[in-house]
Amino acid sequence: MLVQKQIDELLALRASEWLEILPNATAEQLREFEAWLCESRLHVQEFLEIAEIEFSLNGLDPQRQQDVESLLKRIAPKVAALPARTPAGPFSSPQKKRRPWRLGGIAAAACLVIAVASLWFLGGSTHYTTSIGEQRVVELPDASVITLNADSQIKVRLEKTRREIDLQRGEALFRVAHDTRRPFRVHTRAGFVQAVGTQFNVQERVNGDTRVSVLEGKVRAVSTSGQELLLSAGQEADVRLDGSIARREHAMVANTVAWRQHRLIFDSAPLDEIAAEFNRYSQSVHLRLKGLERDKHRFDGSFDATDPQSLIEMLSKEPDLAIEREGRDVVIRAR
Amino acid sequence: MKKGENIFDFSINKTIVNPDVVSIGGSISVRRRQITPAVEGVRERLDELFRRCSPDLHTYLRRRLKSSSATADLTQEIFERFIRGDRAARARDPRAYLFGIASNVVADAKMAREREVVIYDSDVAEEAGKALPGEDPHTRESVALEDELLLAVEKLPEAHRAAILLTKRDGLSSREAAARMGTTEGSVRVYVCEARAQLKTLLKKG
Repeated sequence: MLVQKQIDELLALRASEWLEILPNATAEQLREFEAWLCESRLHVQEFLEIAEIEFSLNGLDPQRQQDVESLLKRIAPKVAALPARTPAGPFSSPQKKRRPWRLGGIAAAACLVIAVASLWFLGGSTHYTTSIGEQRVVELPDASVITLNADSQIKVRLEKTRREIDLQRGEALFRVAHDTRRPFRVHTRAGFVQAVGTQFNVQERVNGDTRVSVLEGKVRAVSTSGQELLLSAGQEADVRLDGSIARREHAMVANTVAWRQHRLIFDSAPLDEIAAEFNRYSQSVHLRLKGLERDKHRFDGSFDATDPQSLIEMLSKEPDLAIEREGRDVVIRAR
Repeated sequence: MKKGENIFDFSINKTIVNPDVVSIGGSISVRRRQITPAVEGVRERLDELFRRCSPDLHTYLRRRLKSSSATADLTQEIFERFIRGDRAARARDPRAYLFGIASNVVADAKMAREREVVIYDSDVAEEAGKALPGEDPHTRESVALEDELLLAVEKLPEAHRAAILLTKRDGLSSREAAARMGTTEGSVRVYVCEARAQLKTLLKKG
């Protein structure tokens, strides 16, 4: 049922994205939209319902009960412009001329395009960073779209014969624009993942492993020792620092990318990994483990990423764990 | 508007397009596209389009959004008429065409119910009347959905909530909202897209 829920959410998102694109759609996008509707009655129903929500939003909060000013003050630090590392960083000068909102095809459906004031140059590289609690969408000049999870960093180099991305920290979802002449590679400490035109998620894990999850198309995962594994849609594998690659059987790729909806879904995950995921999202609470054996505490669950309190409450009920507060740190140790 | 009047006159030809229903995985591929100018006719605002729709369609969709299991499921009928309909009209503006078809299907279903009711039983009449009332969309029903929407908006992550309030309630453009939020126009549009999808999930849950 969980998988079905994830699929429903992704479907709703896609319908919502179409709604955004249509007013300025190109002929090609229109054709794709038509084809999408013809694919399934669920698409039709989803689009109609999302459109009805849009229509109803026109009458939202007529008494203005929601205080947007205090909301803006609270979120200011979380949505601040990206600290770009290069002088020509795309987010460093929002005043500069922006590229217009443009979307490529169904891709577009993704509508995950950011207006990038980008001064790109061949051979150069650009860093993109997100802070704790912040997720970002970056459209590259080749029309690939990268969604960066919170507390993550990538370096991008686009060249004539290749597209090289370094995932220096954290996690990102890649939607790769098709270009057979320029393979798209994502490098991590444990190896690299190569795609031509596809969509996949790469996550650097607490132990240094790299988890690769494929949503569409095929990718090749290569470890530092040269071991290789071809992965197709729906498949997931861990590229380990020791040079091995382990396919994850029964992986649920939809869960892996639930972070885009600020959901964290764990399936028998060790506590240090769970804590690290929550720490990506919260500036006010930092979870720290003290003297716990790795692998001794594993949990399942689906959490709101922005609500670490729900995890803390759950852990406080564990008989062998003690929780203490030290400023913004929440220390979890053995009882 | 007269009862049962078809406000969208799409002539139906009998060309049958194979629907080829495919799986609905969440992935979206990105391909490089030639960007061509927007197509005339599709620029029409959604609310203008909706004004031309039957109020019954709004009522029907609102009931569906609130997961009322008593609501008739007309999805299959809408889908079939959409894929079998006038291909040229569909290709010209798939969105307007879909709303037209959906309006017609809902109106037809309502007529069929009313006919049944008159012939058979007054209790059924009352029930059918409840299931698909043909009133102005600004009825008790629509107010209720807006209340529920507001409750759902309160459950959104903060950035999503701000983006929705600024663009939908306060009527700012994405660019203006971005300036207020200290972020980019593209990010605001992403927040809005995601928020709309999350609202749907939240409504269904509630």
